Amino acid sequence: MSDTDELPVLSGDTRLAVTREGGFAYLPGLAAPREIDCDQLTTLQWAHLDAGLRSLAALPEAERSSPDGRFFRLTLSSRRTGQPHWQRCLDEPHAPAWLVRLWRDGHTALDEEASSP
Amino acid sequence: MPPHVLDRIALQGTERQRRCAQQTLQADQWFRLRASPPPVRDAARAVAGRADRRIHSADHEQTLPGRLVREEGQAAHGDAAVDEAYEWLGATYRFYWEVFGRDSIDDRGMPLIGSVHYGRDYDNAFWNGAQMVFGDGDGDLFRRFTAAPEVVAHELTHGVIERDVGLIYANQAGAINESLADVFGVLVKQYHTGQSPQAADWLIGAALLTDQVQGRALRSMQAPGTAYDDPVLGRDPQPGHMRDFVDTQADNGGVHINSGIPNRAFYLAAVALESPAWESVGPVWYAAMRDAGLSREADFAAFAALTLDHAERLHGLESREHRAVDEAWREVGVIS
Repeated sequence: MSDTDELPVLSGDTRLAVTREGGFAYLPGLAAPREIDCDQLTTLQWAHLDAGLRSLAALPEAERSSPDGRFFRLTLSSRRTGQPHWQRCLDEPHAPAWLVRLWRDGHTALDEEASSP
Repeated sequence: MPPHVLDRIALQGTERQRRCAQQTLQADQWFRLRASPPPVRDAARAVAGRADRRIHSADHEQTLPGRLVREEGQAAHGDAAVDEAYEWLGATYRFYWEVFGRDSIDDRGMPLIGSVHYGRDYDNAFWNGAQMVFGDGDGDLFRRFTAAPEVVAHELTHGVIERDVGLIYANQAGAINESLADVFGVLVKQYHTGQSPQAADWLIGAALLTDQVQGRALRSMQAPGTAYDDPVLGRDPQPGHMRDFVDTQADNGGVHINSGIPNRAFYLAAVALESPAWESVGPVWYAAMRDAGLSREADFAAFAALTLDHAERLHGLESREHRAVDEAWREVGVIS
């Protein structure tokens, strides 16, 4: 994994996994990560993802301190090696709408700009 | 060490590094949480033995606490979520006051602040360090989270645990935290309805599930792992015995998963006795939770030892209660 907070340059080998964790109960059926493979994205979706991920730098890291509170975990890894190289966690109240849509709907959510409500 | 660095270690370090990093992260989070000021008692209004409820509507936004819609002593609002939150927070306050002489979350008359209609189609309830928050559910899988008294009491109890113990919200300590919230959640329901341990259903969140879910509840204290088996939600992952303990990094180290083990221990001890659970083993668990010897990183065995100690103090060595607690922890494999 990268030694810095800097978002790595997205490549065709990059996979983004988004999980929503926490909550009143652990529900295995809803715990699976939403995986986005960059080489499957259109140019526009790729640009929206890159901009969205960069915008996360301004948000506070998750505290994960609220019992039963939820948070999102984003992990970038190499599809080839499986090695993770960047990770961010955001408490649910701080998660931007585009990220929630991405987790819920998959890569089609990237058809819209990351900044759109 | 900053949380993001710890996160990296927690993800990529050796097993020992990961464990240490996770514990440090949780401790850091706890201290930050403790630093946030709790709501203060209104000296002019608060009377020991009388709840001070303040129910707000988040109006489907995620800003807290939202708009104040019903205060202590006011008539029913007419909004089901508002009135359920008011009623079940009141039932929980009464339970803690009448059974344990506890005056609210902090035992000093802290206002009970609840927000309903949080977010849109929001499938969750939580305690944020200052108040309780309830979603309306999505309507497909979940109904509103105020519908179940044990769920409302569960969230208020997280506040009690935070004030009394500050159990770290991860691994076995986090599972004890979750189990205590379930234990006092069902005790509130049983006390409110006058149920015996034999008549109670020992389910958590039965009223939350819609008819579309293949399941009875979100957790079963009687039979962990059997609450639901649904194409969307998956299968209830809770173990009821230490041999099935789930070693995982998900769910903050399995706090809602492995809580099935101490949950079942409480159930077994309660049903072994004929008296109401809030009179028999409830006070034992409450005393163990408040014991200064319960560390923030406690494991199941340490908590079990404290319950045995308090069962002896409250009921006597080799009393029926002491034997029931001892046998319960043995049956779930926490002590041998």
